[in-house]
Order: sequence, then C-alpha cells, then structure tokens
Amino acid sequence: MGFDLNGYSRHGHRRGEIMPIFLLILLVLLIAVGCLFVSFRSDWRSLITALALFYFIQFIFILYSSSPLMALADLALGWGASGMIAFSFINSKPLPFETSPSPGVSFKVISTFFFILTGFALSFTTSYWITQLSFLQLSAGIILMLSGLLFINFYHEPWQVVISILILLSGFEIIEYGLENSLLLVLLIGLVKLSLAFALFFILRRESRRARK
Amino acid sequence: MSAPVIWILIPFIVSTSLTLLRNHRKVAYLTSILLSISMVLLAIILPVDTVLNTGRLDSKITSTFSIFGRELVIQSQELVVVALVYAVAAFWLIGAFTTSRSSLFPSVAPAIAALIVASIAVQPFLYAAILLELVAIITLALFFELPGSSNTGVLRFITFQTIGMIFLLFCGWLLSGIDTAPSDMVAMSRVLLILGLGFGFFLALFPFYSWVPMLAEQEDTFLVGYVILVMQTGILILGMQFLENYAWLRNSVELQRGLLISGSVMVITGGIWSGFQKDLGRIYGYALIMENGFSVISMGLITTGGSLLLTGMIIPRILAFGIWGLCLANYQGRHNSLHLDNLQGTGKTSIVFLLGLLIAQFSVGGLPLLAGFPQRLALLQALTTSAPLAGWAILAGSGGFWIAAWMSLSTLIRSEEKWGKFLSGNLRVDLLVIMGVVLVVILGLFPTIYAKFSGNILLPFIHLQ
Repeated sequence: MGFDLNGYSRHGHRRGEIMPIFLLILLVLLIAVGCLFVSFRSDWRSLITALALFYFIQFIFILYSSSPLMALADLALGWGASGMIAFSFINSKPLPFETSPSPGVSFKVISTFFFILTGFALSFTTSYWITQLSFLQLSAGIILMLSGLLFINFYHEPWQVVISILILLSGFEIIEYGLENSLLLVLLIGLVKLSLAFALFFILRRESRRARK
Repeated sequence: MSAPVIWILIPFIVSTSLTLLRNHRKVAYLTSILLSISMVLLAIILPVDTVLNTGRLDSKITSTFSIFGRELVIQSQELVVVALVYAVAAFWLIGAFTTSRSSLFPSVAPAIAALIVASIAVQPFLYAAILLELVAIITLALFFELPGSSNTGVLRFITFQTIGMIFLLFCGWLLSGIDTAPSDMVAMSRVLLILGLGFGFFLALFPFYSWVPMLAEQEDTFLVGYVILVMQTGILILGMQFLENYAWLRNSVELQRGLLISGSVMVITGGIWSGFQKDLGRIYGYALIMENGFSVISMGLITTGGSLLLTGMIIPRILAFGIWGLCLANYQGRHNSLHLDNLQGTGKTSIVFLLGLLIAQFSVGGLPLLAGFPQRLALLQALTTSAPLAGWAILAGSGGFWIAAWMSLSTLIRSEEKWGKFLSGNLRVDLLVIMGVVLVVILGLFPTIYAKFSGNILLPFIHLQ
C-alpha cells in the first residue's frame, strides 16, 4: 500500500493504524533484549551496537506513526551520532576509559528486567491519557527511557553516561515524534545527539592524549 | 540584516571558530573579549525594526529570522537582556584571561551567550529547552578540558539538564491540549506536575540540586559561576515566558504555593548546608543554590510584583558571584586547593582577594549597604503579608550562610604572620576585584541606579510588569 510523505495512504489510513501487531511486539521485545544486553556488556562496541539497534527500531516506529521524512532524518542523525562515537573510540589509542568487566552483572540484569516490567506497567496507565499512541509504541519509549536512566546510574565513565543519555533520549523520541509532527524538532534533537557525540569525541581524544603522555 | 544574525549567528560562528586558535591563548581571549564588548555596544546603539538613514541607502535591521517555519525574534525591548548576557560574558572573559588555565573558554563563553540569546528569541518558546540543553553540552567539553577532577558533577549536570529538557518538551505537547480546553482540571494538574519537574531539573530546584556543589568543588569555580549564572538567567526568562503566555498558569495558586515552598527549602538548605562546608568551592555552590531559591520565591510572588524583585536580583547577583569566583580562582591558582584546611592564614598575603571574598559573600548574604541588600529587604517586605513562613526561611538560610562566610573569613586570617601587601601583584585581577567591590558598595548605597535597567528587562513581558 502506498503512503504519501505525511504517512497517509490514499484511503486515508495512517501508517500506525495498519501496522502489523506482531511487528510492534517484535520491536518491543527487541528493545527489551537490547536493554538486557547493555546491562551485562559494558564495552564500547556492545553499547554502540545496541544504540544503533535502538535507533533503527525508533526509525520503524516513527515511520509508522509520523512522516517518512522525519523517520529518515532521525535515523540519519542517530546513526551519525553513533558513528561519531565509534570513530572516536577507533581513533583513541590507548583507550582512556577501557574498563574491565564491571562487578554485579547479575544485579544489573535483574534490575534492568524489573525496569522493563515497570515500563510495561507504566505504559498501561499512560496509555489512558496519551491516546494518540499505540500501547506498544508507548511501551517501547518508556522502557528505553527507564533503561537509559538506570544505565546512567550503573555506569560512571563519561562515554558510558553519554551513551546512556542517548538511550534515554531515544526512548523520548519514540513518544515525542508520535505526538508532535515537526521536522525542526527532529533536527534540533538530532543536533543535541550530535553535539553529545562530538563532546565525547573531544573528551576521548583529550583523555587518550593524556594517557599517551 | 536581521537582529538574530547580528546577536546570535555571527557571535556563535566567530566564537566557535576561535577553537582553531586554542594554541594562541592571548589572541583567542582578546578576540573573544572584543566580540562580547562589541555585542554589548551594538545592543545599546543599534535600533531594531527602525529605518536607518545612512546617506544614500536606507537600511533596516529586522527583528525576525525564519528557519524551517519557526522564527528567531529579537525586538528592541529584548536588547536589554542581550546586552546583559554579553556584558556578563565579557566580564568573565576578562577575569578568566588572567586566572583560568582553560584555553577553550574564549571560544565557549560567547557561544554560550549566543545560545542563551537564541533561547530567549526562539518562537515557539518551548524550543528554548533544546537550546539550553545545547549550552549544557558545550560545557561538557569545557569542564573536561582541564585534568585532575573526577567530573562526576558535570556528568550529573548534563544528565539532569537532559531530563529537564525532556519534561519541558513533553509539557509543550500537553500545553497545546490545554489551549483548547482550559477548564480540564486533571490536564492542568498534569501540566503543573510535568512543568514543575522540568524546571526542577533544569533550574536545579530542590531536591534536584546535588550537582551544583559537586560541580563548584570539582571544576574551575570561576567558570562554573559563569555557566550556572548565565544558564539560570536563560531558564528564568523561559519560566517568565511560560507565565506570560498562559494566564491560567500565571494565576494558578498551586504553582505559586509550589514555587514558594520549593524556593524556601532551597534557601534554608542552601544557606544552612553552606555553614557545614570545609571547601570554599562547595560554599560557592550552596550560595548559588540559595540565590536560586530567592529567584524561585520571587517567581512565586509573580502576581504581587515579584517579577520586579526577580529581575532586580540579577545584576547584584552576577556582580557578587563574579568577584567571589575571581577571588576563589586566585586562591586555587596560588594554593592549588580551595579546602579551608589548606588555606589557613592565606588571606593575609593578598588582602585584595580577602576583601573581594568578604564583600561578595556578605552581599550574597544580604548585608546592609551592599548590593544584595535592597532586593533582599524588598523580598522580605513582600513576604511579610503574603507568606510569612517563607520570610522566616530566608532569615534562617541567610543566617546559615553568614556562619559560612564568618568561618571562611576567620580561617583565611588565622595565622601569626603579619599582614602582607594590599595588592596581589597581578594588576589586571586586582583592578577587576577593586572595581567590582566599589560597584557592589555603590549599588548597595544607590539601588536606584540599576532599578530602571532591571525594570527594562520586563518590557517584553506585558502581563508580568
């Protein structure tokens, strides 16, 4: 079925209305698995891979609830930020913040699992007053936001905190872009993501220079 | 040419390009200082939306700059705030030139000022939250530039600002629903809650202010002062825009009560906790929280003339914290610590810094005849009729802060050595501190000097005057 740039079919259906429910469930499950993955793998490759996956899931949600242009712009900016962070790590030798596997992995996994459950529970109540979004889209956004908040508290290295903030923002974007159809908003929040990645690039470069000395 | 191009785009581009001159510290600082001063002068001289007769050609500086269907608008009434923001940047740059080791500050300070001006100018004003978040991200690079600190404060700062931005943007969507149904009490209370959380995180209201003393302790205190003061000015103006645009919010008794309670708790905790600190940087941080509390209390009195009190506090605050930060930066530079145990008796070596610290601290504490006193007195008078409990909170908080000021003063002069020279030997810093001290005393003796200026800040807010 064809859709125009604003996400409407020629029969007047919005994308979200005819999105297969199993795809939505799959996406939410992927987010939950991704969050659990981040909770026990704290190396930069895993975190950036998870972040890139979250941006792709976010892209599908925005594609079905808003316009394709917004979804594409958001994906490009999100992947751009992830790419910039990956590039900073590849170019930082020695790695200034490479940490050994952090202790308390089982605690982190269990906490993340409970946060995911809390996200589901919160989505039920929230869906009563945010009626514009489907329950599963709300769940995806809230789970990511809560997990992002949890990861901010789990990790102490600047790059881990920045990636956790990006995960938090990703969850917010899934909800916000379903409510507000504004390309400028996508671009401005994209600018925030890119600036965070750029600030991290600067920090990593400086720290690795210090480590070399 | 449009006003946003002059006061936002040009300074932003010039200052960010100054990062290329990081290895030429002197050139970068001088360019940045000149840029900030010229922005102040242009804001005073140039009229907006008025035809300029320049010989053969008539030119006009328009107030609006459009981008993706949204607008940046700087009208002539807003030039007062523009001049103030760039004047603060210039003052801090001059101070940092001699005291700070940061090579990024000259490229960051005017960029922050430009983003603050953009946050005031952007329409719809809710996008200001994103611009303020960008300010916080810029400071991430600034604070990580210098080695030796744990940086946990700055990470908490950026986290809280991001959460604040999320709440305010979400609040924007909720408010668009309220526009059409202002009688929906449930929706209104939801907006109040989300708005409160948004500003709570953004403005470091109680209980979200833990990052302020951490940041002041771990980073260059002078630069922290700039970032927090300029950001707070931008956020307070954003808050005033909310109140200006939504009459139901302005008249909400719940909001006013919430602001009074939150502000009072900030003043009490900020003031009393400062009395228990052993680090001058942390005392500075708690003083910032206390001052923020005064602003929040003034906002709670917005329907009974609180807006004039709010804007009246801006100049004495910036001046006092500027001098205070400058003196602390010098202590930090000379003794490599701001912990009182390491600074015992050091006040006797360069009296000018001791004097600066003393005057600045007691101005913040509201000592009579200093710049902070007239507004503090006016606030207490306003509270005696509307919220006497908040008045007692101010007295308790100020009391705690006075103890902190006396403690730091007594430690700094506790030594058997004789008093040293009055000046420190660094003429530029000495001159800045002396000028600041004289200004604090003059503004305390003659508060009417800046009363008109403070009143002019309110010109864009018709309903808050």
